[in-house]
Amino acid sequence: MASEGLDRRAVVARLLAGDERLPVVLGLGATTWDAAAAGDHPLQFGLWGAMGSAVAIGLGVALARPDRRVLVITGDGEMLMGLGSLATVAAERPANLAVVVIDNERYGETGMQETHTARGVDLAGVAEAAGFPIVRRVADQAALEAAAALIRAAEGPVFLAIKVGTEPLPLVLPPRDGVLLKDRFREALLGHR
Amino acid sequence: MLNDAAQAALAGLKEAGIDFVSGLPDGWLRNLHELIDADPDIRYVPVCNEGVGFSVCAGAWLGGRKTALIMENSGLRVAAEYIARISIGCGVPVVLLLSYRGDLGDTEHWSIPHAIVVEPLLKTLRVPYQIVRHRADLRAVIKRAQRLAEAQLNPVAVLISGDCIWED
Repeated sequence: MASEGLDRRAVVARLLAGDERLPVVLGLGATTWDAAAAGDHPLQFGLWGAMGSAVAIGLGVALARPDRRVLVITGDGEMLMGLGSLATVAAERPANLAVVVIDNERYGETGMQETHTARGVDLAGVAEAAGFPIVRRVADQAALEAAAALIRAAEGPVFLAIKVGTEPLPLVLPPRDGVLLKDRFREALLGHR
Repeated sequence: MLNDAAQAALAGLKEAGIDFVSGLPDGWLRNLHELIDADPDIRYVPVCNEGVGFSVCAGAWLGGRKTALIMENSGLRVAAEYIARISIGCGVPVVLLLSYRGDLGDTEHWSIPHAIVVEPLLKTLRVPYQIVRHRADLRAVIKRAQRLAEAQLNPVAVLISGDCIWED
């Protein structure tokens, strides 16, 4: 049951914590709110829309900046819309990219309707079949700790599917301005807009 | 596409500073895809649909690269959601290189919708564009497209047809 899964806010805060601040692409909705709750930062590029594109955008950042570890954190609904991007990641095999799906088996922004992961679709299995060299299914704290280390150190691409609960959480919003989010991300990553 | 037109397009991309190209193969532009893929100065990322290709380009631009997406004009319909969301929403420049399937000279009935939709859709998306029907213009138009894209922080499209594709 997804309602018995990990605390999504604690999971995202754990994944973002580390000595080096990583450039992060966040899928629309709850994962963007989760990252804002952990502390807004210019290197956190949250998609207020563009559903289905988080992994593809993260792939572009990772290929452009092979000197940096790049993290995508998105939800199961957003990932399901962009499944094809997993094939392109696997084909390109960027060693510096990690994709994390925070899976509550629900469309959180639209009324908690079930997504296909609630009906048995195995996103980690899709990533494995596509050819991701490192895939983990995470459902408890011990597995989370082991998986979190992979994001910053493993020869990727890495794919983590993390089951979380469905408890309602307060909205914590980053800036709403897409131009600002883009400009500050580029400034933080490149030193210029 | 004629080989000298493909060479002109590649020269335009390189002179524009474009060093990252994503694309989905298209029969008209096949040899341009091959030239880009083989070029050591350009990172080429083949994709499975054009929406992914546009998003990959947007991410690469966030990471500091100058980017282009190369595709059949039908692919604009697939990419449109991400052009709207990412570029209208945030302001991200990507040069779009499109074959103008369905333009004069095409022999395929299935390209009818491609020609009907492409220009109205570019206008709806507020993407500036130029149709290139003479291969002597191709190199300069691609460079100008990149300049405008960077100036306006918006995609700019180059539609490729006419004697870029055929001798007559």
